[in-house]
Amino acid sequence: MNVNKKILGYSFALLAAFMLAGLAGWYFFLNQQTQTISTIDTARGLGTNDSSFQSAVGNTYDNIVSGITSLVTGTSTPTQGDSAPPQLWQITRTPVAGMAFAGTGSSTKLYFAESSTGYILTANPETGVLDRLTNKLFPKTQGVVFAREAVVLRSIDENGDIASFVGNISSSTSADGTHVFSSKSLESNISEIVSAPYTHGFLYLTQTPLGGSEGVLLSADGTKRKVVFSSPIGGWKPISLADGRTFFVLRPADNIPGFAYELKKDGSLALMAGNAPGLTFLPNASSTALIYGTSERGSLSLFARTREDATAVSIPIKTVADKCVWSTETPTAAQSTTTPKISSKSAPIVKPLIAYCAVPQFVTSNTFLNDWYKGAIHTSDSWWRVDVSSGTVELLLSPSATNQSIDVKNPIMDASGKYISFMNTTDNTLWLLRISK
Amino acid sequence: MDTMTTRKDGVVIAVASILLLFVLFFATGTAHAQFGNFGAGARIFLSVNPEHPGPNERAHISIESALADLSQSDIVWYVNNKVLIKGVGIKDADISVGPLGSKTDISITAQTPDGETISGNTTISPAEVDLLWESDSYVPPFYQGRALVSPGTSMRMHAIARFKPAGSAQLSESGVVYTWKLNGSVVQSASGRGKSTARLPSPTLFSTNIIEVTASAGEGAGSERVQISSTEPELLLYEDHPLFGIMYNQALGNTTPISDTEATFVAIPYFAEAENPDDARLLYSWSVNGNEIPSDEMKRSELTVNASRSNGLAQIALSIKHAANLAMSSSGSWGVIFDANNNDFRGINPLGTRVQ
Repeated sequence: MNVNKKILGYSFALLAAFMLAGLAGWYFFLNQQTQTISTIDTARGLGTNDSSFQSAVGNTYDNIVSGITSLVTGTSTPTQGDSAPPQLWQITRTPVAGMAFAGTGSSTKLYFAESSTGYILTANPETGVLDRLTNKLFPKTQGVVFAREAVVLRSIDENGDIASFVGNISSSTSADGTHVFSSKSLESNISEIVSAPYTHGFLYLTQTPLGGSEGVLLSADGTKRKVVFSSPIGGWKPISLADGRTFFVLRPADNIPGFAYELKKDGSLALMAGNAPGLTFLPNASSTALIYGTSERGSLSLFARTREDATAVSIPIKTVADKCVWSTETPTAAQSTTTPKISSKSAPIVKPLIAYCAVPQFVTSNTFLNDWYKGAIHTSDSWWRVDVSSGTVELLLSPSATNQSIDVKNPIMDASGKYISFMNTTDNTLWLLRISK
Repeated sequence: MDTMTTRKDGVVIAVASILLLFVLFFATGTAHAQFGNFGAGARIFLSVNPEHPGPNERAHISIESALADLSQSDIVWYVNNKVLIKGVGIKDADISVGPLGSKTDISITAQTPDGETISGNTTISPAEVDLLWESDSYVPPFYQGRALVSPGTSMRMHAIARFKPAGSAQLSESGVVYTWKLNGSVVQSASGRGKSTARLPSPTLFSTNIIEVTASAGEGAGSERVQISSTEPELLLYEDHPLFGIMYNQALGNTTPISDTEATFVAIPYFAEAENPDDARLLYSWSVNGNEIPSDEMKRSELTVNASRSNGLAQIALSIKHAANLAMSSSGSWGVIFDANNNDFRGINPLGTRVQ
C-alpha cells in the first residue's frame, strides 16, 4: 500500500515537473515569437504612434495648396513680379502629367496637369503668369493628353490597371474662378493615347485578349469610336499628325530591330524606317521629312531624311528621337512635297528644315533606352539646333550655362516656334525654353 | 521448260526493274527540276545564295549538273535575256537582283564536250519581309520600351511581307504562304497560307533562338531571320508616393534619400513571366537591414518602411522566384536614407519658382 502511495506520489511529482517544464517552454516560445513580431513590425514601420508626415495634414498638402491658392486668388506670377520669365524657366517644382501648347503669338499658353491633383493649369510664356483652370480632383495622374476640345487624364487604379477619363473644360467659370471640368470614364487599360488633330479627338490603343492591339479613333466627347488599326503585336507607339497622317512605331529596345510604319488610308502599313536597332522615330508634321534614332551597344545615333525619296543622312549628335522636336516654322520645300502638282524632287528648299534636340552629355549604359525608359538612369542634356537640310548642328544651351542638369523628355514646340516645353525625367517637373534670347 | 520460264521471268523482271528505275530516276529528276528551278527539259540545277535575296541585293548563283561535266563545258549566263558572262567552266556568278516588284530571269546554257547542249533557268522575284516580335513578359503600365523575352515567356511574332513597291496595292496576307522556322526546324502548326503571326516559345536560360520566316506568293519570295537571346527578369524598386503614385520615372539606386519618415516601395519585375507584380506565382522575399519581412498577401510587391523611430540607412533587399519556373529568379538591394528635413519637391512650394 505504501509502495503504491509512493509510486503515485512520484508520478504526480513527475507530472508536475513535466507541466512546469512545458509551461516554461511555452513561455520562452511565446517570448521569442513576440520579439520576432516586434522586430518585423519595427522593420515594417508598424506600431508607431505619430503621424509619419511633418505636419498633421501631410508634408505636401500645404505646398500644393499654397501654390494653388496664390493662383486662384489672382494673377500669380512665379515669384519675381511681372518680369518675363528667364530663357530657361522651371514652371513647376512638383511632377506634372503632361502638357500642350495652345494659341499663337501673344495668346500662346502652355496647358499642363499636375500629377498629384490632376488640376489643369496654364502658364503664359510671355508674362510668366500661372492660372489654374480646373479644380476637379484626379489623384495620382500619370498622364494627360490635350486635344483641341478635350482632355484625357490617365492614372493607375487600385487593381493596377490604367484608368482613363475624357473630359472638356467648360467656358463658364464657377465661384472660385475655375472652369467646370466634366469627364467620363473610358475603357480600362488603354495602353497608349495621343491627340488626333485631324479629327480633333484622340487615337488610342487597346490590348486584345491574345496580346495584340487595336488602334481606335475616339471623338472629342468620348462617345464615338472607330477601329482603324489592328495588329497581333501589342507594343506600339502611335503618332497622329495634323495633316491626317498616322504612324505606328514598334516600341524600341536597345540592340533589337525596330520598325516604324505609316498607316495608309487603305489600312496598309508603309514602312518608314525599319530594321534599325533601338529605333526611335519622329515624323515632321508638315512634310515627309523625318528623324530617327538608333541605340546599339551603348552608342546612340541620329539620322534624318528630308523627303520620302531622299536618303537618310547622319546627324552629328548622339541622342534619341524621343528627345527631339521639329521646329514649327514650316519650310517651303516641305509644303511643296505635300502639293500634288509639284514634284517633291524638284522643290527648292527655301527655308531649312529645323529640329531641336536635347543631347545627353554622357551615355553611361550599354542599354540606354531600356534603362532610360525604366527610370534607372538619367542624363544631363544640352540643347542643339539641327539643320536637317544641311545636316549641321549648333549648340543652343549647355547645362553649364544654366547650371541645371535636366533629363529632357516629351519636348513640344509652340505654333510660333518661339518656345519649347519639356519635362525633366528626373522628377517630372515642367520646363520652358525660349529659343530666342 | 520450267527453267526456261524462270529465266524468261527473270529477264522480264530485270528489264522491268531497270525500266522502273529509269522512270523513277527521271520522274524524280523532273520533280527535282520543278522544285530546284530546272526549266522544262533542262538539266542544269541552279542554287541561289541567299535562297531568297532581297530587292537590290547581290545574289550568288552556282550551277551543277548530274549528267555533264560543266567544268569542261562552254557556258553562257543570261540575265533578263542579256549575256552576263560566258566562258568554259564558269560555274558560278554574282548577279544584282532587281527592285521590289521586279523579276530577274537567269538562264544558263552549256555546251558539253560531247556537243550536247543543256540548260537551266530560274526567276528571282524579290520580296521584303519585316519580322516583328515582342514578348508577353511583364512590363508596367506606361513603360515605353519593348517587352523582352525571359525563360517561360512566349514570343509574339508577326511577319509583314511586301511583294510590290510602295504605293502599289500589296497582296493580302491570305494570299501569302508563310513558313516559320525555329532553330532551323519548320514549325508546322504555325506555318501555312495567311499565317503571318506565330506564337513561339522563348529561348531557354542563357540560350538564343533563331527564328526565320519565309513569305512566298507565286514566283515572289522573301525571308527574314532574327536571333533572340534570353534575358533574365530585372527587379527594380520605385517609391509609391501618396500624392504622385508610383514614380516610374525614378527607380531607386544604391542610395536614395527620401524626404519623409515613411515611404511605400513597389517592386517591378521587368520581363518576368507574370501577369502583374502581385501574380500569385511570384514568391517575394523581403528584408530590411537583414530582418526578413513577410509579404503582405494582398500586395506582395509592396513594402512600407517607417523610420520615425530610427534614422540612417535602411537597406532593403528583395529576392523573387517563380513558383513554376525554376529558371526565373531575380534579386536586388537598395539603400534608402530617410530624412524628413530634406527639401526636394515634396517639401517646397510646387509652383512659381523661376530658374534664373
